[in-house]
Amino acid sequence: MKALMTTETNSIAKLNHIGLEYRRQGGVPWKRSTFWAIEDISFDIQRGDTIGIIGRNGAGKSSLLRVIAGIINPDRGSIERAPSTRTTMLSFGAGFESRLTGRQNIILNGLQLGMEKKHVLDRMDQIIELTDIGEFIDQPVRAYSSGMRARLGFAIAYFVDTDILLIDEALVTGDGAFREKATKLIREKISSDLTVVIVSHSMQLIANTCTRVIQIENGTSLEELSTEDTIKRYRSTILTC
Amino acid sequence: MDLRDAKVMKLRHLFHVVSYRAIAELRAEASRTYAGYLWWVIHPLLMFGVYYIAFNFVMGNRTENFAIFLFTGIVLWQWFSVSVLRCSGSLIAAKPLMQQVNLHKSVFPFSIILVNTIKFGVTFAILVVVLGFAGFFPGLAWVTLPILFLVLLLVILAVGCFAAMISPFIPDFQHVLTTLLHLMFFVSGIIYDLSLLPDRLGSVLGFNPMAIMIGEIRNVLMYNQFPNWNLLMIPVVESVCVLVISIKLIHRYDKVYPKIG
Repeated sequence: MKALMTTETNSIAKLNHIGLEYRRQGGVPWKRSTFWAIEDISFDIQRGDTIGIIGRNGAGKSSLLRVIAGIINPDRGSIERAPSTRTTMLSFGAGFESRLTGRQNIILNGLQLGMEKKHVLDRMDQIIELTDIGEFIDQPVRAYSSGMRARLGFAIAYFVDTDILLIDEALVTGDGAFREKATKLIREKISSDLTVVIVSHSMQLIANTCTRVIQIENGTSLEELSTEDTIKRYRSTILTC
Repeated sequence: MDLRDAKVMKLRHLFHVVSYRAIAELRAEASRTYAGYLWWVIHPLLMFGVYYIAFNFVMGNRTENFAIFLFTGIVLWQWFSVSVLRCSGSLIAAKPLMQQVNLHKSVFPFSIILVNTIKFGVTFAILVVVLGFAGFFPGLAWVTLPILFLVLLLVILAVGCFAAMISPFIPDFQHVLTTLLHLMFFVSGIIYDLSLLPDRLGSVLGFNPMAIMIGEIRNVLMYNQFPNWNLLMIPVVESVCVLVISIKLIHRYDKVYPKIG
């Protein structure tokens, strides 16, 4: 911990051999049946990094984001965070109440993401502008297309004051124009000291946006290479299966 | 000082989350039906209508206050039982949200209880009107009602948080809870006066917080009788113990709930 403070002052979070154990579904309490969704993942997140996480389905990527977000604790290993680091997961739609309007959902979701109520209300106009869904903002969310939900979710998360933004495939939904806009905004945020961790299957997005890439196979992080080399290695692992 | 400020800020934020979740749920619920918010008034009135018909015409009960006696008990019971039942599923239902957002898990039972408390407020207003029609008018003892309602709220919070805390670990608890509530309904003096029971049974049931609360509140409403403060200590002590333990456990398992259930 001391070393973290002195030699790597820019480190915002550090994962040391974390492992995460889940109980298998349908088990009985007296016959514990578990599996390790994450076996051994270590890497260091520096302030201002944009880290792409790649790996096949079930590699443990989403679980990893939850551990970084502090939603669950690792069952072995440890995660060290710089003091008073705020972490936000860009959720798109998980906290939406489908019978409420977009505007009401902005308040609900903003509060649940840890924003102050005043803060949400102050930024309401900007958030609505960013969603770019016109009069649908006063319609119940159940009338939204999945793209519109994604826009709403992104717009709210964009205005959350946070240090680490975690994105799980969020940019994949939505049409091309919105995706471009979102990518551009995220790039802008990156230059403003924000740290981003993205899980994606889109190699193009990873190559264009990320400064570092971590590949995960079977719950284990592989040796970190350059962005290009990691993508090459990932492509070859897909082909060999 | 700084640390205390941060804690106050955090509590205030939790309060905002709880209250906005409650508002959201009330709005969403009202939008499900054509009559919307009117159902808050219609439902208790219909309920009373059923008891009135059943006991004044069908069963021919001479004691005409029985419908009132019953209605008073049922209204209080529903505040308790609906809150507790909904709380028991709250952490399980919130799992998708928990996996995305880092929220203190006590937010879920608290917002459910707030929703049902607001609904109870409306129902209580109707109860007062019904009581008035039946010739039971507010008296001096009514000034103690806020305290009695606060104690009952404490009981609801305690049992609700306990149910919310344990259900994700033992999903079967929800089935057990339904049965327990059913049993409790019959030993809480809702459909008969508990003082009619033999002494030994009565002293055992004397620890049932709902029996005490329903009895005391009914005494105020129907007979303008001041509550027995010593008796009220039983539900207060029981609830504070259960509530403190439940919230501590919810806090301890904060990072475990998103993984299970």
